[in-house]
Amino acid sequence: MTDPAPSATADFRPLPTVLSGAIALVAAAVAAGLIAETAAQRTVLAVALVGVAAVAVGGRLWRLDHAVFGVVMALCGTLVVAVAVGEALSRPETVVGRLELLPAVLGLWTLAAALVPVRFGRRRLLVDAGAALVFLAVVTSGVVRGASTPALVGAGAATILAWDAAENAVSIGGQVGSDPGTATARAELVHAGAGGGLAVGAVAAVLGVSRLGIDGLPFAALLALLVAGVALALVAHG
Amino acid sequence: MPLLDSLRRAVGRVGSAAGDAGERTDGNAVTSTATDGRTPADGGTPVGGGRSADARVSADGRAVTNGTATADESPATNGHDTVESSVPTVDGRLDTDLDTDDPASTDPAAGATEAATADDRTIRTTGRWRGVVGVALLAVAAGVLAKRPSLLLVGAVAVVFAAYPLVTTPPDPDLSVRRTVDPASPDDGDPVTVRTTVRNEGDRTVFDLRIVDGTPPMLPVTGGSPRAATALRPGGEATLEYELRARPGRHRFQPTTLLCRNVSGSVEVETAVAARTTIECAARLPSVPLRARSRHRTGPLVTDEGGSGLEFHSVAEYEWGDPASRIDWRRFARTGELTSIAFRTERLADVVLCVDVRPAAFRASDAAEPHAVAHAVDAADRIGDTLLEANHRVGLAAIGRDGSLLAPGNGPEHADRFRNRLMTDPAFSLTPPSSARTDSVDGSDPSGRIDSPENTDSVDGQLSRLRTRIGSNTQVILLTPLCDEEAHRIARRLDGEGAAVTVVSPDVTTDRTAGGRLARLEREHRLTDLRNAGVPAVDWDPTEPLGAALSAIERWER
Repeated sequence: MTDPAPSATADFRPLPTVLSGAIALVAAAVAAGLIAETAAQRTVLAVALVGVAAVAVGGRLWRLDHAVFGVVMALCGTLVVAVAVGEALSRPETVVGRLELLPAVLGLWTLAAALVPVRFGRRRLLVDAGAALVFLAVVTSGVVRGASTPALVGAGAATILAWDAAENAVSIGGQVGSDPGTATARAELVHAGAGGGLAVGAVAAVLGVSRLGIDGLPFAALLALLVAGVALALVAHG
Repeated sequence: MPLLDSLRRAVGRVGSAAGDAGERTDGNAVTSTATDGRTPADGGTPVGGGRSADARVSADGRAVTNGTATADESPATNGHDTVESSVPTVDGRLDTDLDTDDPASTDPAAGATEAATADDRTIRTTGRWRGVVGVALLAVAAGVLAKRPSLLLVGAVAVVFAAYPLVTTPPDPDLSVRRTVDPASPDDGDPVTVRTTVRNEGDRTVFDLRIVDGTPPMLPVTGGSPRAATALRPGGEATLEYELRARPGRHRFQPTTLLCRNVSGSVEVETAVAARTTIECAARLPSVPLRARSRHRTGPLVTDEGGSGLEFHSVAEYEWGDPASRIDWRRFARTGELTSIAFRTERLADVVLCVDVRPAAFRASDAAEPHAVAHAVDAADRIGDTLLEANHRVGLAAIGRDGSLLAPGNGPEHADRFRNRLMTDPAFSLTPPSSARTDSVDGSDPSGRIDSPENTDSVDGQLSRLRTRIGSNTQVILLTPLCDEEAHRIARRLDGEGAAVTVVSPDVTTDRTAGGRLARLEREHRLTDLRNAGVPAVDWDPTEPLGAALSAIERWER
């Protein structure tokens, strides 16, 4: 007599969906790629992406009962990511260049771990942490003037999209699962498409406004406007 | 998996509500017409000339039935079984309409239906975009501190996403569910193809629709998936196709859970739509063993008393007043002495089907197998049907977390009440209690918890209430897996108090593990002990037909 089954579909496992997870990782990779401007940074990032892909695929295989092969693959991927982290700390000539890349690589790995998922109870926390690390890289890049304004704005939008897609993967996975026979692609694509459309629109609008010559505007005015916007959003959420 | 658990709980809760609304599809073969303009009275399209019914819950939260379901139309003759129903659209008028605009009340349970329909739709704010405000603030703060306008622009993009959930309207889904089952009356082990179609009846696109079809709890899904996520344009349809493996019994589909999100995913609306479909697989029981104790009304229970009836009982010397029709004229012609034949009197029995739903009864032989309570509820359903059909007076009781008691009765209305109670009463919920799960995960014996004083009290209290509510002539059929001493004690206590008890025990033990073998031995010991005490006990292996197990006990009794 074992754990009772509430229904015959007790083998249902709330794994995050594959499509949204892939979209999330690609969006996060795009964000990292946009802020990596030097050739050295891009090399490190490419190595890290290979490792992250291995972690994601291997981890999922482990969850799908190819335990040994999956674990070996995921561990190899983690090793590659660790190498990439070491490279990120040593390869770029400037300290600034090193600081930019480190959170991005760690964030990508965390996001992949969240979408495997490494731990069921921590899926959302890991998604948040991964996206936050990538965003930290974007902010760092902005602070140290690492990337151009369009790249920075694009990277910010891509990070938010990555988080949105990853959270959606966890949400759909939790409610309907991601068995191969379960059709979820349509909902995922519509969701990601809507978010992507909004991101493209937002980036275009923001960059368009910056072309209009806000350099002439006082910084304080711009700031006040943004803070007002944030306050409005906060009040409306509350 | 807390999310999954809450989802299941929600399914159970809303399921009971929607089940109530849909029940009248089966019960009322009469066509009733809706007075509300928004509730079209045209029936569902019958598929393949089969049984078809269209249950719609109108916007006012009341149920109207319009169907062509005829009770005598055996599902065996039609290949398909189509039932359609529609999500209620709850609007601001709900409360007032409930009070003022009551349809011609055709059902005594109408009040319960209406109250339940208000719960039908759960609206949740997911709050998934809340964190993006923090992201915007971080970017703006960093931009200010480092005097970087480009970071302010990143913050502006984040603000756009913070405003995203505010500009997307909450979903207001109007969805209908249609289900086809082929074949509706399979043989044991046959694959059953289920096609569930969800249609967007509203005039707005549903951007994110997650469908979880309520498969019958006892039937395993062998192919395809009863779940999907999709987006539906107005008039669009999504079809889930999957395969179940049939098992003996009558299996009802639970309500389909529909989760709609708006495009940003900020608001989630959960509804449960009951498309009432049933799979019947060798569900009919040939007979149910009853003990020879009954009330003095003519009925189908053959007793040991002599009198009028069909089955021969005894021959006695003719006494003044014996009816002439009972005189054995052949014997008179042969020997010249007047004798009269007595037959076994056939009586009507009062039976209470008592289901053991204590947490300890939620045991299964395997994680993929249905647990004992699911088997017991299924058996109660079929035994109740057979007894009610034979015009016995049948009641229903649950002993467990929540007690439940339906006093014995008969007639079509009581049969409806009986089925409704079995399907919708939370006491008969098939969701295992959380304590049962933790116990089995820990590997500790759940009966330790059950034997704690307060639980024993509540079981004893329920038994006392049961005893006071039912008459002294009432028999009790106790459905329990006999997995612990407490179940055995319940049977002995009922028997000791004078009720004629018959135990029907689904066997959920296994011989795969040492612990399983021990549990099996203990259970066999309890069965023997009950039989020695004069309590007929049916040992039912759920992989075998229930009818065979019941007739085995009949042979044993005679």
